[in-house]
Amino acid sequence: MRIAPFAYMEACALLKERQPHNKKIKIVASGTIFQLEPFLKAEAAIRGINLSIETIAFGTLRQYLLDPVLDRGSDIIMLCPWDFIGGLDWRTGLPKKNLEKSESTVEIEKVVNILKECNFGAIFYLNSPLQPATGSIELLRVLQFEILAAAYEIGAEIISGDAFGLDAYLASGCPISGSYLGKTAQIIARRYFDKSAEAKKIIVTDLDNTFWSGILGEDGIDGLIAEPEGNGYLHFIYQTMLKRLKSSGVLIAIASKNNEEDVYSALSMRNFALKRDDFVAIRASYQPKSLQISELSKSLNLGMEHFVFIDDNPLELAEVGEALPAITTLLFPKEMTDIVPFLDLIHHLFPSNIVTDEDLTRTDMYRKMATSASIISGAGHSIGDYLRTLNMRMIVRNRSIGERVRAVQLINKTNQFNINGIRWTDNEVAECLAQGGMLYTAELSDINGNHGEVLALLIDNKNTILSYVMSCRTFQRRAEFAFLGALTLIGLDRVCINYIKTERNEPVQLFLNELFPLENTERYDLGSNELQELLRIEGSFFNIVIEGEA
Amino acid sequence: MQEINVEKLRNILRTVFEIEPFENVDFLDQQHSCLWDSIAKITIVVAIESEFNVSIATQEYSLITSFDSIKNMLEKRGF
Repeated sequence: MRIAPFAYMEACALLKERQPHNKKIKIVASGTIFQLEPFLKAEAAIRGINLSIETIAFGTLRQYLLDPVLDRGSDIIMLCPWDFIGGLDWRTGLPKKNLEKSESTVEIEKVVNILKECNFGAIFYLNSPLQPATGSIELLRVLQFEILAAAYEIGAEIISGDAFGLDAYLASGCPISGSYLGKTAQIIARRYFDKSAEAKKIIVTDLDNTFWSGILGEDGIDGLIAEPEGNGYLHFIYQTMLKRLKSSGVLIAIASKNNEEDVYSALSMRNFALKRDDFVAIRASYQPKSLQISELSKSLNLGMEHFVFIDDNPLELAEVGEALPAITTLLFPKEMTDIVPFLDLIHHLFPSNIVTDEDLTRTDMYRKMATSASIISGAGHSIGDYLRTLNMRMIVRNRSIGERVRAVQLINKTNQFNINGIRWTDNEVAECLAQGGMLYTAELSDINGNHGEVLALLIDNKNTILSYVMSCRTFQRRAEFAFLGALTLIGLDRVCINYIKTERNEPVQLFLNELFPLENTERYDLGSNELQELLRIEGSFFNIVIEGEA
Repeated sequence: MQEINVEKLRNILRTVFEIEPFENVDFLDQQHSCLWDSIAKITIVVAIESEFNVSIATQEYSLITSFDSIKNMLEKRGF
């Protein structure tokens, strides 16, 4: 779901594409609003709608409201303070005499009664500043609040006064400034087009760098941060928001690539805003998240249209979005500055209602309905097309001579993608290399930047892989497959992998299951043909560069 | 004015007047273009405010008369 409002050029570019559905609406206002059209049409376009907009002549709103025969059910009305009290209109200048409280209140009530009879599709009120048409600032404030209260009474969605542009209004009759048209169109679109969408009922949240800062499998339980200070604030606010939503009847579930026991331990031992029992279900495995969420949908008997999935990893969102197109996916913000639009969006997807007794017990009720988690077999959805858009580059380096600090560090700190969990000191690596072993690394970069050296492979003089590790930052990119294939470019024509299961290295098991689906052993041999095939298929997602002496 | 912003201004005029990409718009002005009417002027203002995140004051509307005058106005704002 798009968070950023459209700018003018992007909106116009989008309008060149034809959309599958046509819709005509009428937007009425006392001012001019054709300036809003490209932005609102762009919002409609991303919802698959070719929108045509009809408006009324400038300054004819009152006549329109008083016409008894019009059907306004599909109309949108945008109101300003001067639509309630005529003397507040900036364009007509200050009234001859100061506005009085009693007369103004009567005028507001008349307008409210007319609007209540009209039954609009959607009502918006721009809470703009008022021109000083009263005898005192205090009365001006009172009138501002009275009009705002009237707008709420008729069910209007309030548009912040920040959107008001006095220059624009005086020059062209449009009360919305140019830099706020995109945001205003977004507000209108969400209220008008999304109101009939299926209500969302469940949030499925990722854990690492989403629910908490840190990676459970790498940093351990004590390394996770979600306190109201420093790096933890973003996640603390997120957790308290989830807690509040849960209290109002929204179901909260987890879909995480972690060991289940580790997740249970973290939730029990750490003082997070949500405890284990606050979640209707916890799915923690190394299966694709689309499969985890599919299983959730079946066990809770909830359609995908009710799901919102939140993750900090665009690759996970792409995989889930491709496999489950009905689900709404949201990228968890990386910076505190992005938290406000993110929370606004969640508030839009889960509007607050009056909390009932049923809401309070909904989580418990659904948890009882849910069946136990079952191991889902499957590869999830292919994200090859998305991977190609990343323009990934892999630089393979021979670290057998010279600098190898990062490689040794990777071998010793990586837990999840680590074929055997064996740690190597620098001296032990040096001894292995002295006996004819080789040490290779891969540096990964893409359109988002350089991820650094994220793969390391130590191989002995008999082509047995002694250590093969990959940073969890680059999961889901097929880099662990491509790197093996790239070894053929440096002269290796076969390798042997000795796998040792550890508490944390389930991702390796999945990697080996994919390479050798019919085998379940501890020793895996890859010959020249297999390595070449890996290079051909998995290497196609990368621009592979061999650097240094091979 | 930074070249990237000059090109952004050119693209705004190309979009408002539906001119093909890469066509020269540096010569465009209100006096010699019948398409540059009051609606177009307002649309140009909207586009500039949206793309450059600025607010055009009422008295500056009189400067929205040519590519050059708009460019000068934006230059004075530091673009």
